[in-house]
Amino acid sequence: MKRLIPLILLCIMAIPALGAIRVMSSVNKNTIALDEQVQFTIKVTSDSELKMDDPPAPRISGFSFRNMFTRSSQQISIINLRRQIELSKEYVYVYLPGTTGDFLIPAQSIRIAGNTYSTNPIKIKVVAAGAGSPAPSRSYSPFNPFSFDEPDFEPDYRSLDDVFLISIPATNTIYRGEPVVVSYYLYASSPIGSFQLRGEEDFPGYGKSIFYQPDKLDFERVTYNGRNYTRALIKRIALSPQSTGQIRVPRISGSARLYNYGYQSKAVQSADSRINVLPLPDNGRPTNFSGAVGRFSISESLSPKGINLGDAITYSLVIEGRGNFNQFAANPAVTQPNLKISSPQIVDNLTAGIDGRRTVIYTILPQAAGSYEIPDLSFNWFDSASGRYRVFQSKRFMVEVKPATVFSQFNDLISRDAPLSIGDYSGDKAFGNYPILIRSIIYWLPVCLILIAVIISAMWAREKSLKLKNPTRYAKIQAERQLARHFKEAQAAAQNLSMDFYSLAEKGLSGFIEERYGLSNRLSNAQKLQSLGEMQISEKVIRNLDAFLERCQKVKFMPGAADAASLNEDLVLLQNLVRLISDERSSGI
Amino acid sequence: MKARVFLILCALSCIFTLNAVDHSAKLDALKAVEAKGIENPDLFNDIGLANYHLNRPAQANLYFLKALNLNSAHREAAHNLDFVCRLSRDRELYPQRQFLETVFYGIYDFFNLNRAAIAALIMLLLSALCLHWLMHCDPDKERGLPTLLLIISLLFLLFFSGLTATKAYRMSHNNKAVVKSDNTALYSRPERTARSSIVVNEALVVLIGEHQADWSRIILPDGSSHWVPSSALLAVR
Repeated sequence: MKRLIPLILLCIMAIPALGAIRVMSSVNKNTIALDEQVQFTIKVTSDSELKMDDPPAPRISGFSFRNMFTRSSQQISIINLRRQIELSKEYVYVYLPGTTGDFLIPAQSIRIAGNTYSTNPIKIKVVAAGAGSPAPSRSYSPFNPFSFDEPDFEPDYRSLDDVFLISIPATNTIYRGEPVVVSYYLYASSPIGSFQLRGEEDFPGYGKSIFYQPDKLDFERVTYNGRNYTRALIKRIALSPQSTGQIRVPRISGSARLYNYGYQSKAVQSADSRINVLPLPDNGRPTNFSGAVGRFSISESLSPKGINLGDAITYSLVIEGRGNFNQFAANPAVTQPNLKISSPQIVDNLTAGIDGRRTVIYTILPQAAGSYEIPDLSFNWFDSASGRYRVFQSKRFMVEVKPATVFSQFNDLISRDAPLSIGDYSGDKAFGNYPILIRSIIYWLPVCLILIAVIISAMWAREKSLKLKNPTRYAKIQAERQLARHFKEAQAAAQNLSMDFYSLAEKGLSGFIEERYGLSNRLSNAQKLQSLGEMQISEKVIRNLDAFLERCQKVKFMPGAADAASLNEDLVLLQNLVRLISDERSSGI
Repeated sequence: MKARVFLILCALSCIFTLNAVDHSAKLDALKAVEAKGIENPDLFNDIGLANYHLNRPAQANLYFLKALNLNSAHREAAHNLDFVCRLSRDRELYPQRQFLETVFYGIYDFFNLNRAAIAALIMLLLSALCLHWLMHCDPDKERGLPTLLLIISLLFLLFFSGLTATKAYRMSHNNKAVVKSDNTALYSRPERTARSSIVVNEALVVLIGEHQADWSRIILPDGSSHWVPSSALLAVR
């Protein structure tokens, strides 16, 4: 029993997985009249994304295929706190009966994600025209995905003549340079299946750009010349007149496919349409006219008004509306002492280059602290609505520039906006090699000095520490240093055959005895030797020391008692004596 | 009257000629300076600008990169390189940096080799002073403060020394390069038969991973790795 429970649970879990994709088929009517059409629908439902090719239209004997369209929907529900999604896609095939009788729509096989699904066959009865079952009421709703997707009006199957193209300019009189939008509409009294644009014929006197291109036919009911039509926008183009007088708007042509028994096409061409272009008046034209023509509203902003030296101020001039944006530029700002103003940068958010917003940005960099007035910035244009030239003058702005702070040096570090233009040359200056500090001796010299200073400081600190912690040991070291120093001096004097050898040697030995054994220099040599004997210094050292000191005394008080040969002998004597003292020291005494 | 009109036209043409920058002549002059062996970020930036104005974006990017190789804090060169890269047909390949990444790279670029070296020198001096203070302070007194300062200054010294060493190494071993021409085919292996379906365009900045004969393995800004003939690249070093 226990083994069965997991199996049952697995089966229960597998049921939803097996039922993830469902395929159903249906028809809108099982009995139709000969003058009606039948819609055969294949509906695929899944709880995940459907990846499948469109199934081909089924072959149904006695019927001719007319059209096919699809629709899809998504339903989200929450059951037991679980979110469930149901995606469905419907393929609707429209057929026209060819004769009366009983027919069968065969079962259809559809492959989805490697699996094959089949629909059930459906029987259809076709009766003579007028004898069929009453047609179900057509329930067209644009918000109901399961309703008919055809517009709910009675088609006029009788004539193809009432299909035509019309070009409608937004206005028939404009000024030179003022852009105008021309709309092209397809008018029809019969329902239109599709429209294919074939060509566009241009005429002299204007430049053009696409203003709006719809991606589907959106029909609306209109009355034209006293008759009811449906019309759909084909495209809108923007014309920029470059000459005065009358200009012909571009002529477009195409073919419209009509809903009817089977599709029927009709070639159509837009009717001729003209626009009157007026010249710009000379009266009141500013001397520095920017060339802007249109209907604009202008605004400005300055931020921030208080900054630190090194920061930048941004002045923005916003031009909004419809006009020939692609035929004018911003005026450069007037320079001012201590204010560096960039050339204007333009940020456009325009449709077809004629409609929208243009932001002209001036970046102002103060060169010194203080209070500054932002220089006048102006923009002039020809207002086509009033037929007059107009000028926008910036307000008077004062900015306060404080001295630079440390943090202002790091402004560029955090945020860097996308650059809007390439930079400028650095100017006519002479270029030298860029100095790399670590390749220069100037850099390594202080490094060496610092390191040497650290070593000296460390030695100094070590001696200080030794003097404090072990004064005896410190005294010994000092004595040894003194002895070594005097010995070296004495050695140098001996090599120069100088009689200073004796005085230096005596001085070194006396200093050593004083430092090492604490015997004052005021004592006589005999007293020192006696004291050393009491300190258990070896007899040999005392004897040699006594002999050498005596020799020194003799030479000092008897000039001529020593010559070069004896000097060398005495140097050997001193060397032996120092060696003995060193041995004495290393033996721990 | 005709003579006057002619004179006015001549004067106007002279004014326009004087105002307009002859980028070609400018480039020749700058190249002559470079030929003398001068290495200067301003010079390289100007050469890049001249190349840009002459519609040679690959050469322009190469010189902007050379300028940044010498001085990573060169604002104009970074700005111009950014501008040209944003105009590039392969601009989608460049990664969008997050805020912290931007801050990190901003700091890294701010400390060019000289600034990093000076910072390291200052930290060495501070460390030496702290060490001196620590060694010579009274042993009976608290040593916490000099020890703390010494540790902090040593850490900074370590950081800036490492940064200086890294920058110096990267300066002499810069592996950046620029794709020379449009529609440059990429290869999955260093063989002519291993051509992939990906092509890149002029001025794309890449990293050179390794060389094999006449081939170079490059790393695109999006991180993917491919092979191209070395002749298709302009290397910074």
